Amino acid sequence: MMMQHDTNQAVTDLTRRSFLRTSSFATFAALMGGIPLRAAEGDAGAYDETKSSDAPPLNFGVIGCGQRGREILATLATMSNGPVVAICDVYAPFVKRAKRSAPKAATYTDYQELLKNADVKGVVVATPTHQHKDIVLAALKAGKHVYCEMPMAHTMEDARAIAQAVRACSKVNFQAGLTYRADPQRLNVLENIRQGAIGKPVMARAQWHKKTSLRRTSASPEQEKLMNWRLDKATSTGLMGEIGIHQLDMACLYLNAQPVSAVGFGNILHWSEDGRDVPDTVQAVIEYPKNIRLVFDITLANSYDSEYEVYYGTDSAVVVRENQAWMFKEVDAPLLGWEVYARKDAFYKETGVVMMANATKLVAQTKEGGELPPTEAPLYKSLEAFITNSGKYGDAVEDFVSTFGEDDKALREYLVQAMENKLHAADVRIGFEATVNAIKVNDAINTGQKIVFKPEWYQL
Amino acid sequence: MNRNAFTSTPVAAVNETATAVVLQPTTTVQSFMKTDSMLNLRILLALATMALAAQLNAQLTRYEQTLPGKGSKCQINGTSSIHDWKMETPIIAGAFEADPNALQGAADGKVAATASVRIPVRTLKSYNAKMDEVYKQHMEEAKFKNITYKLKELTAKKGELSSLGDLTVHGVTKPVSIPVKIASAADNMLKISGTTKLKMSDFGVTPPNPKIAGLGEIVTGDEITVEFEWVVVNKK
Repeated sequence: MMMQHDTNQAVTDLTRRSFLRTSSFATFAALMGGIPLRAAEGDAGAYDETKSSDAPPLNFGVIGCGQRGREILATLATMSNGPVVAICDVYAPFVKRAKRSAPKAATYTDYQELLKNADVKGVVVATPTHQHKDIVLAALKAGKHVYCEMPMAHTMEDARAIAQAVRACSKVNFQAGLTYRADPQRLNVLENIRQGAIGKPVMARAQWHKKTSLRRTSASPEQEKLMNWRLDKATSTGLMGEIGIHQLDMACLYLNAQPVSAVGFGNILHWSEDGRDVPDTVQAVIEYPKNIRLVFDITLANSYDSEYEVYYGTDSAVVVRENQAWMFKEVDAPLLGWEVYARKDAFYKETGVVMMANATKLVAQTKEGGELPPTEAPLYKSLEAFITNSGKYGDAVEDFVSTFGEDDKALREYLVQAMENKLHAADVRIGFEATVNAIKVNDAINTGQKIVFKPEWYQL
Repeated sequence: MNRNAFTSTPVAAVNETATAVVLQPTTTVQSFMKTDSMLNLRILLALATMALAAQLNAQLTRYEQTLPGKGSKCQINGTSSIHDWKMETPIIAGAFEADPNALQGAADGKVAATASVRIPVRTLKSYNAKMDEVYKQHMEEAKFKNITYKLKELTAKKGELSSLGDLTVHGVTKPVSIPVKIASAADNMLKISGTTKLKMSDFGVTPPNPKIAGLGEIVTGDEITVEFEWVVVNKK
């Protein structure tokens, strides 16, 4: 029997992103008469330039050098203040591959040894999800700032353990790897929605489509089993956890609520020959307060239209793809004001006057109907926030302790003030809640039963 | 006449008019009282001064730094070509010694007091990340981590207090004279407050002229106003 061939395996997320940029989604949005929602430099609120600065470098130790770990290493390699001094993976070939992005880094196969490296100030935990807890707790104990990939854990208990450990530790900065929470464009969309851009929200839709098996291959069967933890229900939070968690978190943010209930379905429709038990095609209906529902489908069997969310409201619909957004207004919607000056991608061949959100800048940068200027990837902004916030946090702790000694309560009070202007990023509570939600929606998918969300799940 | 009360060598009287004194190691109090009255007076005066000095020092109460929540604040106000700015910190470390009774309604003249203050440079924040970065660069924070002050003299005049001390910023020490108010506060605390004008350039700090996107080049004013409220506590 022919092996099912995953032609897209070699296509990394970075390549996929550039594929999207050159694709005709912008034209599609234009055909539907969309207004790009784009935070312009200098706009108050969304991208606050006064918050960003060339923060001093933070020495990184990256634990987990699989695909995600290597993507993070590649991003850090482009950041002058993100030097990687140590990398770790139990699988030696991954360490070798990772060294290409961090040639000067010390290499480890045991994360406990990496944590003993005094040079390392911040660690990235990018191992398989079910291994996060032990590593995060050890890193906190070792006094390192922690950036933990999502989902935080594969069970409620482990997620809670991480959250409680972080909250008990006031000496280091913790950031959950929900990259959209640090992205200025996503935050700009949030501000627009909060200010009523869509009117009254009525429903939402999200999808993530990519024909890919997610299977990793290795010469050794044991290694291959370890590497395919995503395809095993025992260690995986399914497509909703491993992939959908980011968009699910955004839906909760934009709809400003936790889910009330979830129902779902999941089956293996295409990748049925490799022994996996995690569905490759799922649909979920997640209900929010006031009868607003999110319909979310994820498939590994088809790539059409890739990844986006739509938030439908009585005044407009907002389409968000990664960190780009367009607003499609209803004809009877009131004028917000700013959209008069915003750039529009017109439907008809005779385009109307192209009016930009930031009149002078965007007009100069783009020609009519052309691509919007590129922005830094959400992962970049997320790591930048981690570097800046961890530096500020560490300095504040040092200043307090060297002056007043150990006084945890007073230190925490001082930190609130000292971190007042930190860059937006997901803290442990946000990471915990997103993990709980993803786990529960995945449970609904796997059991076929409606799950009613309980407030006590979020208690710490 | 031998006025040395501590010689053990017997000395014969030289002058019949003066009282010869022969003091042996076993000098008794009685014979001491019989010694020259001027010598007596000088010894007594010396002893008395020493006792008084000891008493004075014993009366200085030590007040120490308090946690950020207690109200300490040092604020720096400045100007620029674009807009005024301010930076502040709640951390003022150090100790102050004085007799609290001597501070209220002090008579004109010197007031016995000591003070030693330290402010970590990077705790001063404008909460504008770019500005804070520029500030740290110009203060060369990596080399000069603290602003320090040492009180040299506290003087009272017509009920008002004035301080004279050495202020060290950016590694440069300059004498500064600052009128201060010292008020009692609850729980054995004192609040020491004052304000003064300084020039950045006096301490070798070049007023920053950063280029900010969208605003152009900002020229910062050399003169700044420092306002401080230092809450210290006597930890009895």
